[in-house]
Amino acid sequence: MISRKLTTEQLIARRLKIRSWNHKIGAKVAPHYTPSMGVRNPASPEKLSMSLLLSSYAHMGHSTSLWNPLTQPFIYGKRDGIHIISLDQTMVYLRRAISVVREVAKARGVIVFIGTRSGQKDSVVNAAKRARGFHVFDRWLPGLVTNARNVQGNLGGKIVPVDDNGRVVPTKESPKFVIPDLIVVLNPLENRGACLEAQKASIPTIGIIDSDADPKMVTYPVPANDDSLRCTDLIVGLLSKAAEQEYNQNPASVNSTASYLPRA
Amino acid sequence: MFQALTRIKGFPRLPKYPVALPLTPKWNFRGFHLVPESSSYFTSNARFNEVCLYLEDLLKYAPKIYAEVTPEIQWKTLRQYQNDFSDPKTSRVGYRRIVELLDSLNKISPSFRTGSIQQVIDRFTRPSTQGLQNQRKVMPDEKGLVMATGRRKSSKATVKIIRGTGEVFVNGFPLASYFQRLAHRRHALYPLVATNTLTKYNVWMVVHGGGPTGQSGAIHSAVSKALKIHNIFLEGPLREAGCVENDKRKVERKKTGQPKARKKYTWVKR
Repeated sequence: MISRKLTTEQLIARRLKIRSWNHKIGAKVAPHYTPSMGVRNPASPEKLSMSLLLSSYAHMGHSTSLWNPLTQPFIYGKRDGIHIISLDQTMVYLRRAISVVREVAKARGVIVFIGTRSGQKDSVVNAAKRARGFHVFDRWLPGLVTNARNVQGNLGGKIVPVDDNGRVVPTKESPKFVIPDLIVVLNPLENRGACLEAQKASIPTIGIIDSDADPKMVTYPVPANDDSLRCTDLIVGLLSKAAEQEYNQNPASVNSTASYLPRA
Repeated sequence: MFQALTRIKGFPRLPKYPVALPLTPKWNFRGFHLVPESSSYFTSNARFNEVCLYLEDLLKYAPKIYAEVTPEIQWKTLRQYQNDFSDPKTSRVGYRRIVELLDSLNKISPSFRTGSIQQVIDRFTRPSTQGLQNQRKVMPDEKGLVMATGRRKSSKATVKIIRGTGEVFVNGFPLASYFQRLAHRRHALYPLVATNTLTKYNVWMVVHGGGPTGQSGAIHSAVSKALKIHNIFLEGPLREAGCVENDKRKVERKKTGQPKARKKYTWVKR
């Protein structure tokens, strides 16, 4: 056997050749959940079911000693020292939240997704991209809404007047700040400031309410597990997919990804 | 605009905070929406986040085929980045994160880089300035004289070395009469001893501040710097002899509640 040093290209070509011989051997494993697919290609609202919520650990509440009694309507029971969130309730409230997002996207409102926990950055950024909205994955700056003139002025971003199809419209106005039309918070307990500012400025909020959170903090609570990244990725994915579907309804829109060709 | 609306009958009173108008067409009579351009508009540093997210995205989908030797590259300085990318808010810490991502992108073998990766690397490469001299090289002047400074404790020494026979003068006095103690004289000229150049150079120095130990230490530091300028090859033996490192020890300050820096008052039981 001759031993020779292969270049990178030769090594890769050899690997691909061996893979082409071997990859069809063996059992076909059905597509299963991976965290990256949960972020890149989340479930659409049609796929929402109890089994999907159960597999995403949406029913796991917090310890019974940390219970907020205001979440009593959402609790199914207790087990192993934690409260179990009733998935019947979750389905109902989640469906309501999805329809809210749909209506806001239809009216081309500004949606902001807030998820400040450590692993939530990817899913929040992708959800914002999908829903043609905006993301906050680090701290929510206090005063972004109630002190918009100063805080947004200091941040100094550009604001564009845009029509329903997404095309820029020439206007004489030079707007200094933008108030969101909907805020989706993945951890309202850690973003109390954002929820309060939204209340003061009459901005509807959707938030994931766990058994230790206060459902009155947000306008449309979604009782689910806020600790599990799989669950928060699922919920923010569902909401952003609903918004994306609304943008795709109108193929003339600049933001739409719907193709002009009829479905074969 | 809000004030004009409050004059309409039925519109609620103007609150203290800016209010989100309802999304119905009735209130959106202007026919357009005001939408921020960047999706990071509501973050604390939108431009920085845009750049980071773009680089992270590139990295995620980049082929993880690394070259055997990473190509040497110089990235733009913080100021150049701030000017070119109109991002005056990014701090050194933030730019360090960007450079981290760029280094991982640079590791990818050049033949396997996609067009966008190469574009990004080119955009961030420091422009080479042949006119600018990055390093000011210090050379001995026409007569072969080299000047260097050294510091120790509160003393500062300026030393001039020239090829000669081994004469040493400190503040106009010969070394033997300036430093009483042998240890000080030895410490001051130790760099010359370590490189066997005692009889090859004449040394003239001016030193002020501090006491004999500090002054001899300052001379020691200055002489080793001057020798390095004269002859780069002496750096090896100097480093082995321990002449190159700066002695940063300084008098420690006195603390409140104590008579001296470390000494404490007598402990009393009651």
